[in-house]
Amino acid sequence: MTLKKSKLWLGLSGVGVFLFTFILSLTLLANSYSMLINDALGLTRGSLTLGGSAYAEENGEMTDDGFEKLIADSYAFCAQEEEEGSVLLTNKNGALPLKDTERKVSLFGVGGKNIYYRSTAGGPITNDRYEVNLLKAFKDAGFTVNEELYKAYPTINRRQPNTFRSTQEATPAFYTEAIKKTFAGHNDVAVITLTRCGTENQDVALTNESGKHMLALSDNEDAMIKMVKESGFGKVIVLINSVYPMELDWLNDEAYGVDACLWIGNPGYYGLPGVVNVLTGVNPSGRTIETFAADSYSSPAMQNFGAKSFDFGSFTKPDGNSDSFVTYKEGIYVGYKYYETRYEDAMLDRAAAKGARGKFASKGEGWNYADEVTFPFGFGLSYTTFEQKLEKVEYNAADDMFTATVSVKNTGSVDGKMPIQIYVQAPYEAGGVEKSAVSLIAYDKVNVKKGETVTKEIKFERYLMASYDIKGDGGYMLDAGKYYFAIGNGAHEALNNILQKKGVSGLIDHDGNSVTGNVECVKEYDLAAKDTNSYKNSRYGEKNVQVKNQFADADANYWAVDGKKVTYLTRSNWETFPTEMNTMTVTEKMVEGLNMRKYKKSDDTPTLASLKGTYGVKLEERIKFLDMKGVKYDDPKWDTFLSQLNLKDLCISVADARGIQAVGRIEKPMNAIAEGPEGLLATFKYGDKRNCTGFATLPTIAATFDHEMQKKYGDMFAEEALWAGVPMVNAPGCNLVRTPYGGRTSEYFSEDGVLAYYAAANVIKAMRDKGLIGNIKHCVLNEQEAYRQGIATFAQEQAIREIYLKPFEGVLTRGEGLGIMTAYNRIGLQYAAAHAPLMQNVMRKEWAYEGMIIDDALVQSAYSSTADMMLAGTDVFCLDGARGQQIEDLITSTDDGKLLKTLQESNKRIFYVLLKSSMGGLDSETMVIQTIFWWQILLIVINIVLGLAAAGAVVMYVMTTYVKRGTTAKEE
Amino acid sequence: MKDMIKNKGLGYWLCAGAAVAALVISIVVFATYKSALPNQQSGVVAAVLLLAGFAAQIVFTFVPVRFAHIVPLALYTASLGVIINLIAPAIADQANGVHYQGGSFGMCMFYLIAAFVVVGVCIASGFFAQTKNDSEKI
Repeated sequence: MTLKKSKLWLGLSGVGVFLFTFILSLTLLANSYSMLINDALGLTRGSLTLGGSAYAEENGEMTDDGFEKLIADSYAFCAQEEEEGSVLLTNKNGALPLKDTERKVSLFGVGGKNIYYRSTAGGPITNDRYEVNLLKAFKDAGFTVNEELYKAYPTINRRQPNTFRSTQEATPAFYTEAIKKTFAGHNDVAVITLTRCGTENQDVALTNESGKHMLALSDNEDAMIKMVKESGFGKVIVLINSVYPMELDWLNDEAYGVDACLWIGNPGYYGLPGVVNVLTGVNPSGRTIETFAADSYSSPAMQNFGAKSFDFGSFTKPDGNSDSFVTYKEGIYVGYKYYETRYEDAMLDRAAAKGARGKFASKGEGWNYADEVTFPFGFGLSYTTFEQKLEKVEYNAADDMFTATVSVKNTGSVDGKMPIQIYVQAPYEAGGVEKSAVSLIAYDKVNVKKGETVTKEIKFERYLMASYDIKGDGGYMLDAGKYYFAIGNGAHEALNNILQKKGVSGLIDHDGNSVTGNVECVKEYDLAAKDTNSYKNSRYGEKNVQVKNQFADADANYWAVDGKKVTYLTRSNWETFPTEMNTMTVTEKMVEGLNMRKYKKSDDTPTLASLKGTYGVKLEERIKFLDMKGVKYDDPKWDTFLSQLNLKDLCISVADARGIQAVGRIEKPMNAIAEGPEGLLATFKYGDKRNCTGFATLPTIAATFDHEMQKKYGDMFAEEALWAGVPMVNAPGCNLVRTPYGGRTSEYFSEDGVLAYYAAANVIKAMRDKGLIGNIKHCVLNEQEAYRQGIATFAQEQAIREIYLKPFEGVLTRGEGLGIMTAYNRIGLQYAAAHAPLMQNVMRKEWAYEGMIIDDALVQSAYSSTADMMLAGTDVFCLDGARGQQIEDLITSTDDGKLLKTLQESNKRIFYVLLKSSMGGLDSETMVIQTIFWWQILLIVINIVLGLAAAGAVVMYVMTTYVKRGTTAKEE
Repeated sequence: MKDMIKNKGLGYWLCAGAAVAALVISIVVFATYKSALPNQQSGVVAAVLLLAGFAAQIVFTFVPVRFAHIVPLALYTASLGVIINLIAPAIADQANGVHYQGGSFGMCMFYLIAAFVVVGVCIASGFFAQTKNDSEKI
């Protein structure tokens, strides 16, 4: 009996140990994600009611009725995004818009059934009840749709890896005679949808299952389109559901019989009605945000895309993501800046531009623009025609701005909107600073009624036409000579207009047709002497801050050994078209550079004891969080305020766990930080508490080329944030679309830094105006997903400054942004989130940035080295709820007062930013400050009970086994 | 040695089976955690705990004690706890239908289920004798 009891208690001891350890681990997990749990239980929402909504009642109260109005407007805006952002690429014989009699339609393609609404990166989740698929969009618009065909297509799980490496298009065998019979009665129009997918952590595969380029037409798609042509539909319309520029040179091939093609990007969950509206008559006015090359591998950037491996030789590889690199050998010649610059040089027959080097789709012996480019950057068609004229361009030295006056006449038969695009050509001499033949410098959209003329003045900064010269200290400069401003339907037409003005003959359009440029669309600006002074110092902050080289070590040649130096592309010789750089020999200096744990406490570092009186102080009169509203950043009151916080308090706000916890001592409530480039990954607090809206993705909003639409996007985004109780979001992204295959293209704006400069600033400014802090991401050089967490990214400073940093500069200055997220990758060899020159010199000094800096989500490691990141400028650790405790342990164990002071600075920036958000409008009377919640108390109780139970079982086992045995033995 | 093996009870063999499984899983975790875990977290601690449980089992093979399963069980459960904390972001991504924090949901589920099985078997072993003749000294 005793033995049986002993075994039972032994078994129960095991169960007890398991349950206690298991629940303890779940408790730790729950506390790490407490913000999420609070949100799910409605506790976050209860404590944070944000004001400032345009949909609130007059007294500011937010009601379910107001919510209904907001949702109606949000979903209407989704449709408007597609109406203004879709790009009409071809339209033979005015096939579009469809006539009222063309309402019987068959929807072809697996993509049509499985629209890629948005990527699967963090962002808004759909609301199944309200999502508008293609079938519903057409039916709601009064079409008779071939539902048998639609339903016969398979449903695809877009999260599966196959999504990114196969079109998963139906095979020819799918189109049985029975299926083909369904075409009858639905044969006015065939709408074929072609879809390509990529996402976070997943670049688009370079090839599909049959070895063809992933962005080319797949075999099944090819067969499907030809089958559709053979089937005798009245019209064949192709929708491009892809932010990745597909190879579309076949569109004009009679073998496919395509009448019109509309690029719709990723339309979001509710945007497809806008696509149908365009097909039926709303005049499209979007323009391409990237170059559509005939061969998607043909750009110089594509020659070095993906992760390449370092050769460590006899060196030991440092801990922490140090395997791979990528080199931006193309320099500034990204996207259209390559194709158009080479076109001009080919026209002028200089620098081997007509040679075979870099030839991909050209049919002749040499490189040919029309063969290589299917649709140029900035291109798009309309249902009407426009005549535009660049009336004048005037410079005002007082504000260093140009004002262009443009007249646009609608010469067609319907009203329409048209984006005015202003480009500039700066003088270039071989051997000088690299310059694109044409660069976008400004844009705006006009609405012109048929037969009418609209005149528009557009102001733009002269600074944007300066080039960055890395010689000496480096800096922006303007070469002496003749500058050309030009307008046109895209970069190519604008360049042709410039070339016509320069007297160049033999011009062609992107289809290869001979054209004559319009000199009325060009104005000249002469600069008598080279200007190296105007932008020598910062334009934004203190005037004595010199703008100088900060990224010399991001150049591969800073590290490369002699004989293995990198040749960057220069237009002085197109034979420098990049080759693939497969490996790089690591040197001792590079091993040191790759090590991310560099910080060593010095002898003069203050101890914690020496800082007594500067933290953890009990003030006679407590200063609360809301008391700091409106206090200027450099006001000494901040020091007094911060001095109240002890080390534990200071470690709370730097650790994000989908939000920042409350700080009880200063009555700062907890706040969410949501995720999402095209809407919030959050739910509303009102109405049916549905998921926030998934708008069309950023390429579509950029493609509107409309400042007002871009601002409205930011405004709607921020409105929804108020109704979801969210004051901060990790969005939008503004890295560059460097190649056609970068996985996160849907989260970025364009291949052009200046388009992204304006668009991102518009979005962020509108967010700020409504109290939402957008953490613009990912700064900088995060243009691919392959080995993103640690890849060494080499680029020349000119390209970094002019192209990759430009959108971030726009956001933090023009857009008055107060949040920025650093990138996962390395800039050169240095982790972006530990890159002091970027954060301290460029952001804080040159751009006079007073906001906060958050890293991209990584847990503490040899790469994500806490002390180095803090000292370089990282304020908040994204999605790392454990980092606060780790920082506390680090500072305590090392007695490092320098880190403590850095922590105080970070707290200052975080509170300063949050008070500038909608949180600054909180009411201290109704605000709920809670640092521990009922579920946390419940978990503590459960842990104690289980711990006691486990201990009890062990005690009983010992009692029944050893004590009893001992007693029995004694009795015997 | 032969006699010692012959004398092992069901409790021991269940524990031994769990230990072999723990060894295999720890090797899998070592080999795959870099691509399997979200946010580039390290799986080393989870794998080492499993290995430690395996090592403890070897010790208790030669030093038979009645409570032999408790030590590896505690180590396996700790490993399970670490794994749960590591894979939570992958589960969240799956639930939200996004690829936000990286990693492989399938592999994460393998870690979780395999660790649960090891722990479960080890718990069950506690209800059975370690030796056939109950000859443990303590």
